[in-house]
Amino acid sequence: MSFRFNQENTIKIASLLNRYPQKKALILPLLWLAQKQEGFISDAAMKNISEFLELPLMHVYSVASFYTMFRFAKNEKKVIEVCRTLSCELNGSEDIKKYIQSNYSDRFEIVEVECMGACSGAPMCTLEGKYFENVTPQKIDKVFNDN
Amino acid sequence: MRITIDDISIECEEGELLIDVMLNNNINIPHFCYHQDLGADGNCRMCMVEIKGAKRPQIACDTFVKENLEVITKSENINEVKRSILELELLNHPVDCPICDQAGECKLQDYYMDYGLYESHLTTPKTKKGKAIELGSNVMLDQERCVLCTRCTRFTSEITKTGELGIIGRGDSARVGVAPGHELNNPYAMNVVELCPVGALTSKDFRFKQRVWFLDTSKSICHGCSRGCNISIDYNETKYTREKIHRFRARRNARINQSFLCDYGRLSYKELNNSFKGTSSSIEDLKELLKEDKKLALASPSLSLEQLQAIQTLCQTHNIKLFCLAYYDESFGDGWLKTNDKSANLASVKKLGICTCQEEFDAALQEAELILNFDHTLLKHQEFGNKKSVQFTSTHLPPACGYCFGFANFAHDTGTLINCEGITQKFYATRFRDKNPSLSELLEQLR
Ligand code: SF4
Ligand code: SF4
Ligand code: FES
Ligand code: FES
Repeated sequence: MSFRFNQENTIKIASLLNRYPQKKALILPLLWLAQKQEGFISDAAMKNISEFLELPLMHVYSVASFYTMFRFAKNEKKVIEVCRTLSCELNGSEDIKKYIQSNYSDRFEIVEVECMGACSGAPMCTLEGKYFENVTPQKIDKVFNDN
Repeated sequence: MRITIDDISIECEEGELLIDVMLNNNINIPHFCYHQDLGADGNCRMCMVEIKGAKRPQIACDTFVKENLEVITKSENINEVKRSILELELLNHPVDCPICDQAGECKLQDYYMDYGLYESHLTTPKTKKGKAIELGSNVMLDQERCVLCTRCTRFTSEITKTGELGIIGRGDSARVGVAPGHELNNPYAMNVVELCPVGALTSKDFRFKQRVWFLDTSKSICHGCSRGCNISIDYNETKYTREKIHRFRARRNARINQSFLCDYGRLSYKELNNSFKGTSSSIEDLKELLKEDKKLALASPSLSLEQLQAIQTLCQTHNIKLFCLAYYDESFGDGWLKTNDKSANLASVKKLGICTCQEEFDAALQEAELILNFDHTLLKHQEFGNKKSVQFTSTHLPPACGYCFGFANFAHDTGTLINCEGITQKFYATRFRDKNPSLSELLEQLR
């Protein structure tokens, strides 16, 4: 199994390189791009990144595993992220989470996450990275059943 | 300049780290992450002390000494701080000390006995992590016992620069590990076992063989190459077995090996349990033999200065041509501790002016009628045809046609070595005598 960034990402990386004084600062953007490209971060992708940045493979793995939003295996199901931080919590994210868990856990993978930076639309959740704000059970049914 | 630690006045240098001053003066200072040869990381907070005039306790590994600094290491306040830190360390710890190989030399155990809370506040279940993971190079990992001091990961990233170890995950699930599909694999890997202050990293070669409180220790020098790394030999003698050497540990010497050993040297202790078990020939026969005409002796370049001197005297008295050939191995050395010269004491050989020339030796060997071999591997297993031979050996040899004398190996002898940098060092015998005499005692009888 090998990994190469696709053309679009390679161009992105070239422009990102100018932004930082040191190559190793690119570690997070590269992990993001790898995850976007394949849907998860494979061992081969980490190897590619470690060679590109001239950092030990373990260092890349260490950084990637620190962040819960990086995944190391392909998703079997589509992922729903439910925010559980303060603004969303105060606006009822607990009930939203329970509602999603009891109605959608067979079709989707549900993860709790910390603030997604969309507090003005609390409570919020995402589906495959797409944001849904001010969610209610009705809104959820509508969106999720279309998917 | 002077500072005061717990009312004791101590002399130290401007710019020294407080923790170094304490360690160098044998003042008890609990610490996990600080290590004199890895430097400070400030992550464990175990080394908290009170400084007079400072608002709150601070860590000794990040405090530089100043004139008249007043330090307090024991107070209710400090004990409370340490207690809380230890409670946090033990939150997910399995507390399996009875089956842990580190027990008895574990810092977590020691500190908990000193400062611990003893009663658990915990109501939630502990986070489970990996156990008995084979990392490679004889190193076993128990992630649940780890205090995340990062000494091991700093060793592979900063000292060996091989970068195999790192921390995976964060918070509760943070744990030490290797990258998927990779292992810990470098010639100095086993140092992490010794660096680990707790039972998270243990040696596959040593674990479960001995409880450490049943071990005795002698100060010695590794004989694996000309670096002369300082070691502690851990050994014991039990009711039913003769003395056995169980491991080498690094003994700190800032000029030579800091706190490290190479794995080859560390595991070379096994040779020492393989001493000569046969019956030595008779000294009287040897005396007769020495009346032969053309005699040659070859000495191992890893014998001590004292042993070499005794051999040299013998050779001078009996008109024996003495040689010593270096153990040279181009593939052994690296830029760090290991040297291509695998002789432990070639510098002494040169100092005594013993001939090390291969050509002269080859010529003399052709000529010789009697060959005396002092532990040199080149001639140890050699057949000599119709020439007579005498083996002096510190290792076991199968019965051979020639004469053979066993002598005590370096664990059972005291002596001097000079390393590749010209540093003269002594090594000391363990408490128990070998069944074989020392080489000097043996040669004494020939006088
Ligand atoms: S395994 Fe040992 S040395 Fe490594 S971080 Fe854990 S406690 Fe420290
Ligand atoms: S570097 Fe040489 S002296 Fe040091 S431990 Fe290794 S073999 Fe022994
Ligand atoms: S708290 Fe939920 S998006 Fe900020
Ligand atoms: S030894 Fe000072 S913080 Fe760990």
